[in-house]
Amino acid sequence: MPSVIPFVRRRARIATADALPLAFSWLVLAVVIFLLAFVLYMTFVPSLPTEPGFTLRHWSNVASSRLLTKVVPNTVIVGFGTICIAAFFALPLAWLLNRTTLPLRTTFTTMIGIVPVIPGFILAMGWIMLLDERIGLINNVAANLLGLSSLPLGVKDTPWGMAWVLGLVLTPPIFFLVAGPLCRIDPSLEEVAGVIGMKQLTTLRRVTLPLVWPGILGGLIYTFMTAVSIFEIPALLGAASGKVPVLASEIFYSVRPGGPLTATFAYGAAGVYGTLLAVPSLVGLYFYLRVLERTERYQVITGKGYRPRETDLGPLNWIGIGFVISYLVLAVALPLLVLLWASLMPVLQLPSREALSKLSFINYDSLLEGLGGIAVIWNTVVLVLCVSLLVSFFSFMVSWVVVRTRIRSRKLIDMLVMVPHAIPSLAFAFALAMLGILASRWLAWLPLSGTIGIIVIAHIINRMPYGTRVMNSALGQVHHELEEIAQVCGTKTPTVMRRIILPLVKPSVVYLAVWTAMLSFQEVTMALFLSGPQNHVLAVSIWELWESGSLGTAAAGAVAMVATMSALMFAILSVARGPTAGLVGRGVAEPPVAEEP
Amino acid sequence: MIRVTNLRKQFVTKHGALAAVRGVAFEVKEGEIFMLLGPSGCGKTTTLRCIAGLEAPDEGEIWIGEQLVFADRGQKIVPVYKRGVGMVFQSYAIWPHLTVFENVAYPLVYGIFKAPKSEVRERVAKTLRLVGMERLEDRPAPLLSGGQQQRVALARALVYEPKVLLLDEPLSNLDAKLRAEMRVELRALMKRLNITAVYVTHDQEEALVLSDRIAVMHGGEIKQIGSPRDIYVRPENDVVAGFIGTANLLPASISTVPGNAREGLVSTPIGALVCSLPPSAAVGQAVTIMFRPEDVLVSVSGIGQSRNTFAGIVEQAVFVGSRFQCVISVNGLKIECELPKSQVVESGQNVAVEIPCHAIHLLP
Repeated sequence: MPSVIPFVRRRARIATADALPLAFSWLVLAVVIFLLAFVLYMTFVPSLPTEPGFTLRHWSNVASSRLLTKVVPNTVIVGFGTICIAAFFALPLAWLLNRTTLPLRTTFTTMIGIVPVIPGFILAMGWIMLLDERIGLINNVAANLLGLSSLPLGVKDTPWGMAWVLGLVLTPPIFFLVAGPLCRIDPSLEEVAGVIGMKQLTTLRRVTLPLVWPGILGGLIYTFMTAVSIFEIPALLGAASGKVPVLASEIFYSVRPGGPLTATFAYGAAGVYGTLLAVPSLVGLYFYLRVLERTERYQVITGKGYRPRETDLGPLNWIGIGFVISYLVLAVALPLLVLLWASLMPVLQLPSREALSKLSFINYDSLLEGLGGIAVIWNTVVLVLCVSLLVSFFSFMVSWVVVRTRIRSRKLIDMLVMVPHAIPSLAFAFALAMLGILASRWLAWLPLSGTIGIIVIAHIINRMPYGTRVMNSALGQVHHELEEIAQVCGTKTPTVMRRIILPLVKPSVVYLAVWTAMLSFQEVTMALFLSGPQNHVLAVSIWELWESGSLGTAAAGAVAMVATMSALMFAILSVARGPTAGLVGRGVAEPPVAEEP
Repeated sequence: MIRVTNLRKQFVTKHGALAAVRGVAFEVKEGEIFMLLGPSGCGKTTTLRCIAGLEAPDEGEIWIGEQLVFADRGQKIVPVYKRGVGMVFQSYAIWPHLTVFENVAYPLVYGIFKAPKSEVRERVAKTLRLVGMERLEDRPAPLLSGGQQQRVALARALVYEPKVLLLDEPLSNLDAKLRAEMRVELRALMKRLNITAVYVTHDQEEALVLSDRIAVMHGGEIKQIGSPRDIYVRPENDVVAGFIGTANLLPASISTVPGNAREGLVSTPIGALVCSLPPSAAVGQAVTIMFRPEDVLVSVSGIGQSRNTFAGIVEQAVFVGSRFQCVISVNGLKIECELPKSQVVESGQNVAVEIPCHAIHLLP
């Protein structure tokens, strides 16, 4: 953590006016802290906390041969492989779209901003259809051309395949992390290099890169953290079958046996794995914060008005555009197109005249039934609406405390609310699942385990860091006198919030609600981890369809899901015109979290 | 109407504690316009915010009317919204998402000043008439000019008829001409409504024109409280003398104290001066003498026999329209003085400078 708040002993004098937002803030933070403590606690009890005794067995088992020889190496390969792939795309993209005169730069930037909305597991499904050793379309084409029966190049059952898909999915975060400093380098620094006669490529290598490398390093660490804690993509690509286990899948199958690996519950082991994931993430976050501090020290950003110098690529423009488009094709277009194709085919096959004659909507006919009926749609709507509203509400309250009060604990609150950004979502899902099990034994009246509510809680915790970043900057822009005069005019804090502040930050709130809804809609790791018979949401149903082998129906579901998201997004944007639409455009193009950890 | 005693407030910053207000005390009578005047950072705005309830003081007592609103290190603290004061900020703080009408009506629609629905429109219209904004009721706030925003802010502060009005540099964002007009208009309005006002400003001219009494603040303390004329003519210390108007300040020591006559002699770097001395004066006592530029008499005809007259050379003469502002060097010291525009002087000219006995003030 960046700095420790010095605790000054002083009588707490919290004005009653701040009590309400403060109470809501600590409610959220208490849940976060409690869940983290619970994960640690779970590693010391034999099985469920209902049984007596403490044990260190789970920790000593970490040294087991399987973990050290298979799981950890795989996880490390996946992590570093992802970084290599993501950096390979993100670094040139950041330079091309921020420091050159490439045409259509704004459009491309927005498109990269939208990539995170597309569910990663859907892209993984697409890539399996493209590169699977048996059914992969590209493999089949290549094998036909080379006259082989099959091509030994596959995306499945290898950590490199996981890294490939994860890298494509995680390119946007690095892109925006690097784009920030890259845009703000003082051109005079580079001009000096020009004056002393460096060539442009030399300038890039000797001046520009050293100046932005803290940003690059930060992005890489962040990507590593994210990559090793994603479950669904490795699961689809071979972790579920047990061929390429990674830490994330170990946690999942320890608590939800049924895979080929574990037939028994191993809660303690899952807690240990969760801690193993969380520790490197926290270390990574620490380095990332250090890097951020150094970025400030570098003074790359000067307040003066200037435009970053832009390189004219001239005839090389086409190579640049080609690179941008090839990323978008690989990350979005190709996987989505193959899913669309698969959804229209009874059985996946290469496009041909014969295949075209088989085009049908048969997969769509059985889609609703396959997904689990109207209940799943209803669950999804409830989940998305609740998460979106509650995240906006709690973010507003937390940011109110952080930005608009002078309560001493506000910096601590601001730091704590960022913790879920560093802790893998699986760890929180694990703690919640455990709590759910305990609740069903001790507090049977509390509907937690297997309900949509438990997924709602998980998603809220997961989205709070982003939500508070958005609200912090929105509330920070409202002059404090606008609020103070309302109090002088005889109204209490709740009225001031409702009548003055909320209307003033409405564009940001709407933007936050829309974006949160999108990400909650596509999230699958936590929803799957916490799923029971009654609380399936759309993403989980598609995932399970795929796992059960109904590729065509799953593809149809994926297409329907992406189509719904695009339709909703454009509908909301066209309804909420003006500042909100502008904000969404900007927010998509430059997510606030990319700036801060 | 307002009583503040021993007010103390410090802010804790990264670089340690910073005392913003250090033992401020004053009383404002009903219907009085009380001015807190001082350079930026002197604690005047903090004092005003403490009265409004926007800051919690560390120590002191604040009374508004008959009500004790703050006492005993925060044991008794009345929240902002219950204090019933009107306030105008430097930034005006007009809510940009509301129209002029909605801005002014806000206190009457929500909160403790809530009025029956039937009355709201009438009272808002009446207040807007008062500040000359009756035709702009439906205009959205962002489309107002600075002067109009200022009037709306004032109307919003007056609409619920508070007994006390707090103004934080309300005119400082207006251009010079409008500011001069608004000063007179604002004073007339406040007098007509017989409102008790505490007014914060760093503009001494504004303070002199607008107020009934002025408290000059410096470094978190009140240096002098008095009527505008008192403050100008009889400043009690060099800080006040230096801040209000232009003052010539010279270090001096008392050299002769006559037996029963009130006029004595002080020695200064420019020479011995005759001036009236307080009864407590003692020979050898170090003092500061102060005189205003407009009281200095300058003649080109050479040194006569008059008292307190010295030879000097004009170093700088600036014509500012109604008069000349000159800097005259006397015995190597620079004296500021003002000359009528009819009396043309040029730099380098030899002149005689007379500092009339009655214009000299002794400061401790």
